[in-house]
Amino acid sequence: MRPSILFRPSTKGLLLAIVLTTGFISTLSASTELAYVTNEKDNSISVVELDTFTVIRTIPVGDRPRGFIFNHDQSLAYICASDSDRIQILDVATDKIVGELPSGEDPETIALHPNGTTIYTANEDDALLTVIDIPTAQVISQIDVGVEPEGLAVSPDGSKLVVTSETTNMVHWIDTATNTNYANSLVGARPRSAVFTQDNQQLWVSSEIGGQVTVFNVADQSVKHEITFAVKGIHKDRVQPVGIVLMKSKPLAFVALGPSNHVAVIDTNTMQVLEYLLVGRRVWQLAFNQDESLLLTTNGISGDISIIDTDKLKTIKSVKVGRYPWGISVKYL
Amino acid sequence: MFNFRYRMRYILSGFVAACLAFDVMASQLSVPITYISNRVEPSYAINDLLVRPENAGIAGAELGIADSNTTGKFLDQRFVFLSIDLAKQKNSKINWSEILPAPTLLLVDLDTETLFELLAYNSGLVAPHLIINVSAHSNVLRQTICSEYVFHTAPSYAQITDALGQWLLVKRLDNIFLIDGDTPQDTEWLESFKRTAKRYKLTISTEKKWSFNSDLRRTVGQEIPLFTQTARPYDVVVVADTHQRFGQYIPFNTYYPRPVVGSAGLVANTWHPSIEQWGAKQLQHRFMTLHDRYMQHHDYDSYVAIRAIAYAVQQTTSIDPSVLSSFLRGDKFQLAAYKGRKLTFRNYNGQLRMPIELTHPLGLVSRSPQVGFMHPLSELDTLGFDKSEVCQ
Repeated sequence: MRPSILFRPSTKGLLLAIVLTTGFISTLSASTELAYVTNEKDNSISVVELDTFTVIRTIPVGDRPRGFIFNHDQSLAYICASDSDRIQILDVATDKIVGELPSGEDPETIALHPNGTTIYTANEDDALLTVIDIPTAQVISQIDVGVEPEGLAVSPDGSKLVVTSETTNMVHWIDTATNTNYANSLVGARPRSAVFTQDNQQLWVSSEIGGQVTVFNVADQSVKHEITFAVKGIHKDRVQPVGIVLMKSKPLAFVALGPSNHVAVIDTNTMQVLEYLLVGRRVWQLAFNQDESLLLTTNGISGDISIIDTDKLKTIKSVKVGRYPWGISVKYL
Repeated sequence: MFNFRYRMRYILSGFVAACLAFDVMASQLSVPITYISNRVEPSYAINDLLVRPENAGIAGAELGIADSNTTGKFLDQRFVFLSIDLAKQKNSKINWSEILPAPTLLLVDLDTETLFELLAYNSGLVAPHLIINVSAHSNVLRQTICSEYVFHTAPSYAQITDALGQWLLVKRLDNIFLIDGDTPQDTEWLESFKRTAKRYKLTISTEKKWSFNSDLRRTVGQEIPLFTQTARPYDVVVVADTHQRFGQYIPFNTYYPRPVVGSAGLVANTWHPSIEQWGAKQLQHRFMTLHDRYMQHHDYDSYVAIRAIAYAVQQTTSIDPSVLSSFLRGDKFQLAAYKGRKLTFRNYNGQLRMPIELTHPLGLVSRSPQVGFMHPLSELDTLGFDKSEVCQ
């Protein structure tokens, strides 16, 4: 039977739609790892392909995006839109904002509990830590912490949470079962990032103005090591540790040193600095790709990310993103 | 409403903290800090747009106290703010021992004469007060007072004019038309600028005193070009008008189209509402929430003074002025104060080392020390007096 005249164009339309959709999906589910970078001053996220090192998409998000993390299966991402006073939920498959979480005012950083359903955010303006239940999108608790809370870390076993407060110069230790603050440790001036080791035994904290990294014994909050830095040709006041990442596959730690424009490589067995790698200007946060062969850095002032080869310990590339890149996470294959 | 709510929250949280302190925490360390001012109305007519807010300075101290108490609650320390306004005391002679019976931690916002009086009184005491000058810029204070109990978070004129001088040199604006406002403070500013000009080999090709024999509101467009007319062009006009009586009329009216810096046009000081880097945005937010206005440099200078004391108390758990003074001057003192690097005090005269912001009325232009100005100890010491220029 000859199809009706009316039917034919719509078939074409349908085919066209299928072709377009397939094309669209194939660009989104990329065949390579993707770095997601929040641009604090552009209210956007740059998505960088990690085989070609090019920005393939820019996603508009809320105002002043800073902290950025994926959920465990990387189907969703949580973004601190600080000046919009909310955490936005990004559907990674479609690059669309699909929801929001109540965050309290001015959320800066976020951390996800290993249970995948509790998220923590530091409210920088209000000296609060907000505990949010994701399924119900409800605030479970708000905990008083020091002035300008910043770095957040949940221990891998999920039992402990720490938050640093920049102007109070403290690490606040919180029991995640009761959401209570059970200890406080003074550290060097303006603490920024905090990271637990995989074995839950150590906590690493960077002090930006103090110019040091403090390594704590988690069990009794005693100080195990204090690591200081000296970059040749740069005044010590400009060596300002911010982001920290600990490698799983090798005994190495990497620390972003802010306006000294270097990343320090530390041997975690000896706690000695092995090397300083030159990156972009005002290096801030750090992230590995899945196999840890690449380390990515956000460089606030130069508006780019640097890519470090972790085998050769060399900076191999820089990629221009938006203005004031801040947070960074890698979407694995 | 929004701001009111938050203001109430600050006040209430302070109140609750105070009650708690009273009831349960016998071991709590109470840290009283006193702000002494004598706000004398200037005898000059001041442009309405440039009048200082009523609570200039003290507002920053209040925020400093609130921040320090947020920290203090984790350390069992409570900061208590007291203020004394000497202008309200009618007696001409100030009886310091009556006002300050016991050794205390003081922020002083005084005219130079009263400040020198207090410093002289303090130097005679067995147990002196800790004094932080939060408002006087006088160079004489930095060069002749070297008591270990005296500190300055307000910048000296020398820090301010050096910050400008470095910028002029970087911009190659080294042929200067200088205008003298002819008040004692202007003269002091001018002397300081001349020292800077000598240091950086800037040429002052013309220097003129401003005389108030015209009505600027009507004839500014005619008066200023005539006043700034010279046979040969200059690169820049530098205005010393610390009381803001005429300087604001100079930009765009100069005989040659040249930038204006000093007390009008591009100005140098410690803070400006447009600063937002290095976490400054958070400080600006907190200040706005508490006081419903933008933070100015007077407020910043007081804020930093409170934070410096609070940091010293945090580290020493003492409120003894002598313990705190030596800590503030020592190597262990490091203050994070939204300037992108740690701030410390010069141990030879108590002046806070800090970058100086160069701003126009609505934005940040630059920050000194400029790149390339070096010093063996700290680049920040390229601004203001070095050790060899002090108390010799």
